[in-house]
Amino acid sequence: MTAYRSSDTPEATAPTGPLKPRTHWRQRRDVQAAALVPLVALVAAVLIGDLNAWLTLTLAGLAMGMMLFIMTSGFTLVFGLMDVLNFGHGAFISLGAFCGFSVMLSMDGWRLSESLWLNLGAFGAAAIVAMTAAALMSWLFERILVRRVYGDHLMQILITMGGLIVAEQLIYVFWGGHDIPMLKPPAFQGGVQWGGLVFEKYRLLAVVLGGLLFIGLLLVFKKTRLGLLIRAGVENREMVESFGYNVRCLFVLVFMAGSALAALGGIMWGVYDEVITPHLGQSLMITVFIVAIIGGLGSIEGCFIAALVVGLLSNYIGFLAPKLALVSTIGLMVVVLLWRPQGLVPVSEGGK
Amino acid sequence: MMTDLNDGTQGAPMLRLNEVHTEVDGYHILEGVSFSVPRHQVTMLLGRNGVGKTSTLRTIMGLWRASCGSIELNGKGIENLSTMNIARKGLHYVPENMGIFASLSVSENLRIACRSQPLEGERLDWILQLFPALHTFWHWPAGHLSGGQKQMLAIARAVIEPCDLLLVDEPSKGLAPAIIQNLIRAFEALKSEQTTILMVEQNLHMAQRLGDHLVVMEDGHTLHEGSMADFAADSKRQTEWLGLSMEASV
Repeated sequence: MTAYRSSDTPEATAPTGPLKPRTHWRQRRDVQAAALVPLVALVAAVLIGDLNAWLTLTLAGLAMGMMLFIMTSGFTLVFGLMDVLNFGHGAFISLGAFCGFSVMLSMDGWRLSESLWLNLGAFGAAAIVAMTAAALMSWLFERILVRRVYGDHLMQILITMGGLIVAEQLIYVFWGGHDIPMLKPPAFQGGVQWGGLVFEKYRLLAVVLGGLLFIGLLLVFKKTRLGLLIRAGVENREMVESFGYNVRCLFVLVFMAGSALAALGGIMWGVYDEVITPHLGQSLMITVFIVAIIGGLGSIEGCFIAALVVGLLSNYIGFLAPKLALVSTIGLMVVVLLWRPQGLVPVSEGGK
Repeated sequence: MMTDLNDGTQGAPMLRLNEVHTEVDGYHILEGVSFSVPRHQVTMLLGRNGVGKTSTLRTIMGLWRASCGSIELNGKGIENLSTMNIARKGLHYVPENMGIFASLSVSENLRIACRSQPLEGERLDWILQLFPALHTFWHWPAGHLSGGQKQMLAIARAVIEPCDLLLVDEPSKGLAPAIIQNLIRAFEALKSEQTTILMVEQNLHMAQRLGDHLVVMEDGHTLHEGSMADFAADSKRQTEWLGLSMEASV
């Protein structure tokens, strides 16, 4: 049923003959925005003054940012492609965390082992189960709720919020209303020493996993036909349809993939906090929404940059001025929107 | 995808609209549009601003739904098909705003248009010959092209795969006269390939050069359908229907 194929590799199809080299064009908003990440880190380094504390906070911020990115990417793409504001996205964060925890708690042998590989195996199994469950649930969610409210943002917010509440209650039904605590697997606990500095292992893992995921997503977007269609669809859906592609099908695919990523983010967050609560998704949803807005709704690069900046800033502020920690994210959003009302990396409106 | 043109329907029109009505957000925009698009000819859809020319193309393409009336492609109704399926029937569309994917490169824009085959071969060579600028800016983000280059890219995208019927909405809009000459040459090349074209155009010079068949619209319905040659010779009707004469516009 899908119209796109990944078989024809992009570079094999360039025409023969002299090609003008790719020219650097001025005003790369994405580059300017990306400069924000080192800039924030640098300013914080000056303000904090203590290298060890700064490194710990930076790693914590990057880890938080990566997890936020994983959770937000699906939300922002769903909006970009179909103009759908899905506040039910948080349900898949919670669902992922609970499914993942259940799987890990049932794999005590691997989870409690001292071996890094067995620990990773338990984590991987949890991730696969949770992501599959979230993808399937989101397929139902799209069919039952989202499909009926295309083109109406108010209805989307109301009905997907409703969906989020129902999903949260379902978690109460299946898992009970209490928090589920679980210590990190032994290999993820503690830190690694390097010189005089200590890096927390799980944060390193989160950064590596998030980084790999971002690179993977970028490769899909830039190098495959599927990614090409998603990027085009985010810019001008009608035109992609006019070329005979099934944008609906593409959308459902992105919706499911995005929800699966939300689930992965949910597990990572849960393992990090060592406890999950049924309203995990709901409370994270606010931050997810803010990250998507700061990055520019629909922009995957913007989402990545925004997630890192939000993660870093909330850790730095939490250390420098704990009383301001709660408003730091909102404050960042206000400042960014004053600078760029469409977000850090606005999606081009070229064809609209 | 390409339907057989020699199936004995040579004389029958490729596309026929019959009393098409379209409502958008409660506004009745098309109030009975009826005309035919003859095979292998260029049909010009003319009329003053706001009479529903663009809406007619959008309705044919399924981007807006006809509330009643029928649209037949080779004798079969397409008014209930989705845009995707209409496109797959061989209708290609160049919208008024060109619909360029600004953040995608020129080559990526063309690659999206190649749905059933890879972007290569004689057809691509032919198109790059027709529009050399596309070759020059192959790796550039399409948003950085000039207006004329964007229009060329939009047309190239629509014809990179052979199509049965090409819908083009005001290709000359906002372009310099020299570029319009280029466009006319490109459309003449397409015409010599016997592509069937339905074009909305305000530039009467261009319309006269390219058009075989003519449809004039007024206030959401068709006012006149006939040959372009007759119309070109009739300055009284030009003034009456379009509010300007052919000599006055270049």
